[in-house]
Amino acid sequence: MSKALIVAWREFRQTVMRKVFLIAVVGMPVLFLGLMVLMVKLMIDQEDPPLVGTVAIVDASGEAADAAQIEFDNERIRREAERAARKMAEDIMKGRGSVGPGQAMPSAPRGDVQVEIRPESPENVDTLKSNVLDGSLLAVAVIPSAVLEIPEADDSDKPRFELFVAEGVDSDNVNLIERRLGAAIVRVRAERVGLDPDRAMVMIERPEADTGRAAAGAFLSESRGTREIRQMIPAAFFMLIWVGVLVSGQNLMMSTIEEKSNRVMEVLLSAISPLQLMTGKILGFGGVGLLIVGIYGSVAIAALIIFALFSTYINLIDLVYLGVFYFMAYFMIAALFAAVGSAVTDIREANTLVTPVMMLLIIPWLLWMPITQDPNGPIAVAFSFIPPASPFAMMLRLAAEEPIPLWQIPASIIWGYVCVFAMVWGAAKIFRVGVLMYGKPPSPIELIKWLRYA
Amino acid sequence: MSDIAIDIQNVNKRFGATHAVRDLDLQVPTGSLCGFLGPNGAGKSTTIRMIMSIIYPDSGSINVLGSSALANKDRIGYLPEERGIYRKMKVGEFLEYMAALKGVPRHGLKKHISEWLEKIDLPGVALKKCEELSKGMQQKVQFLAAIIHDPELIILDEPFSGLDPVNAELLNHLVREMNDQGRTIIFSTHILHQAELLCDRIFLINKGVKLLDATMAEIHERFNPRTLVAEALNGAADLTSIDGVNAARPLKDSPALELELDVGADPQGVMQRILAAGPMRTVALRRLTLDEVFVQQVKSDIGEAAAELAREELSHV
Repeated sequence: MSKALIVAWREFRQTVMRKVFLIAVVGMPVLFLGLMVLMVKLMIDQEDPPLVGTVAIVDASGEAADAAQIEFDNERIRREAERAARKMAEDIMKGRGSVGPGQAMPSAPRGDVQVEIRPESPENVDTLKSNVLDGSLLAVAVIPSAVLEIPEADDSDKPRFELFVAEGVDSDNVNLIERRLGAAIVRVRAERVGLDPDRAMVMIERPEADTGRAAAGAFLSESRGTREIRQMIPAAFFMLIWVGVLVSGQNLMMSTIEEKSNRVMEVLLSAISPLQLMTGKILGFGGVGLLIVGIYGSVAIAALIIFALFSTYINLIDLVYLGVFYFMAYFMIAALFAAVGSAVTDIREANTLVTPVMMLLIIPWLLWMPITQDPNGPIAVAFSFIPPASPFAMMLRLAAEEPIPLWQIPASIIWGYVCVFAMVWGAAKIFRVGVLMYGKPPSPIELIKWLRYA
Repeated sequence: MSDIAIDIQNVNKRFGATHAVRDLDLQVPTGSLCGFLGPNGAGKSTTIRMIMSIIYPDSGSINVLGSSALANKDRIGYLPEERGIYRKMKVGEFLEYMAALKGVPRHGLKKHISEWLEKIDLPGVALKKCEELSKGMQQKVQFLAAIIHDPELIILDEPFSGLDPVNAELLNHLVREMNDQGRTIIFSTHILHQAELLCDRIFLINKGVKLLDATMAEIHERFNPRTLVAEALNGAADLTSIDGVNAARPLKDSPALELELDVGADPQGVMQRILAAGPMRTVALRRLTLDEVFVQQVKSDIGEAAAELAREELSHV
């Protein structure tokens, strides 16, 4: 065993100390984070375009212009923006399910807003439009009287209003004008039925539910995290395992091919057995993969800890499962890559044999949607026991919101590691024949025949 | 310690339709320096790989240092025919890695490696990458990797191939030195005169069959050619008239003559008569070279034409 560990340490060291690895694994995330920070800084530093000018409201009743006056009030816009920002922060910190403020809540501005509202009569529309075209007016809104009526609930062709905006107005500001005018129209409608418009706005905000889903005779609280972030957790775990397994598996194959093409294989086999060599290589590159998972995973975990969200979104047991299923997935895929690497003499020959392995690695991606949508459906359950998709399927299911039957967890782990044993055993047989075989590379069928040798 | 370092009993190995090794029996005495000879495809490397437990015989048994090579890997040094090196690794790291795999403790290893590097005329290369060395230098590093753990049994598969005369001589010297220290050494080679110079025992193998297994002394005794080499001091002399000499042939690239003796003639008596006949520069009983022994053996095994072909293969290496 100690010789396998010597091999493992060399493979680990030789891989992680390479510049390419440092650039790819450590450099890329650092570069990515750097770019993110730079972009955020640029966005913060960026002078948001102010919204300054006159908006003409063409409305026969004159009510819409009065309401728009209130909606475009500077102080009101600032207060609403603060309230929206506070609520979003609270939602994230408390991990509360959130769909944001009510639909009627106007969008918050980014820059300074200085809008003057001018009521106009319908006969001036053409002049006003030419004023917008020459830039002397910021916008003109033509609001038909039907828009101010409360539409029928089943009316599919709801009346609309027209808005003409001057050239060069930022699209966020166009959006702001649209939303604020829409809010003004809702305000008019509320007043017409005798409601306080501000209360009406609050009234139509949908209350949030603290939902408990029945699972194993109890209710599992769904209010632990916002749904959006919680749905990202299984995705993140899946990606961590997949990237770790792929990178380390491919490195394992490349190193085996290199040893064969360098003819150093027989020198090694004079010191250790093929099984020790393969075990050492699998362990070494497993460590490489774990390092990748560790680096990427700890960045995400550190971010969650910094914002005190770790316990909200992640169960410690999920991290244990991450380790258990990472190694399961890795050993399965590594066994396949080791077998392929041992059978060929250079990377060009490896293509025909690598393709089936890569296809096996694509299967978990195809399963992603069906499993996340229905973590206890027949597809999810079946693939939890079919290697090498099983660890990926289980990770998606375990990190998802819906709890899975408890018996399936140990059953899948035990069965998965039985499969790992069988695959490593088979790979060892192919490895033993393959490492000393030179010349024409074998076909996948011949590779399976090698299982009967030795 | 057992008297026999390697004991091969009735070993057979097939690769598909090819019978690579056939009913092979071989005993390598402890402390001996054995040459394992034969042309390409004779089964030398297959036998060596079976000795090393890299591949396994279909039948028969192989005992190495009292059990199997697998159990004694740390006591065996092996330089395979297909030797390789980690091109991107530093020489020192590569040797340390190989030593660690052979169970050498880390303490004092660096010093041991640097001493050996000096001994093989490669001082100061420990920090160089293997790919920065010339092919000959790499071969010496590979040789060092095979023996860095001071093994008691050393198996070298074609150790001289590709070496220039200076490095071949250095290797010769090291092999002899290690044998003098009591280590058992077996090496395969195409180059017969190298074996003749070095070995105290020869195994000859062709097409998977052992043709000869004897010490050099036994070979010289057994393959006494009953031929004299004589060169007269004053140029040409008629030596055919001397009693006991059947025929005289000029030697290639030499003024000397090769004298074939009559059946039953006593070589010592003939030599005395030649000396009495006139002043001589040389009179010697010719030894059969391994080359000739090989042809004789193969000829009796597979026929003259095939033997000549096999000899050609050897002499072209």
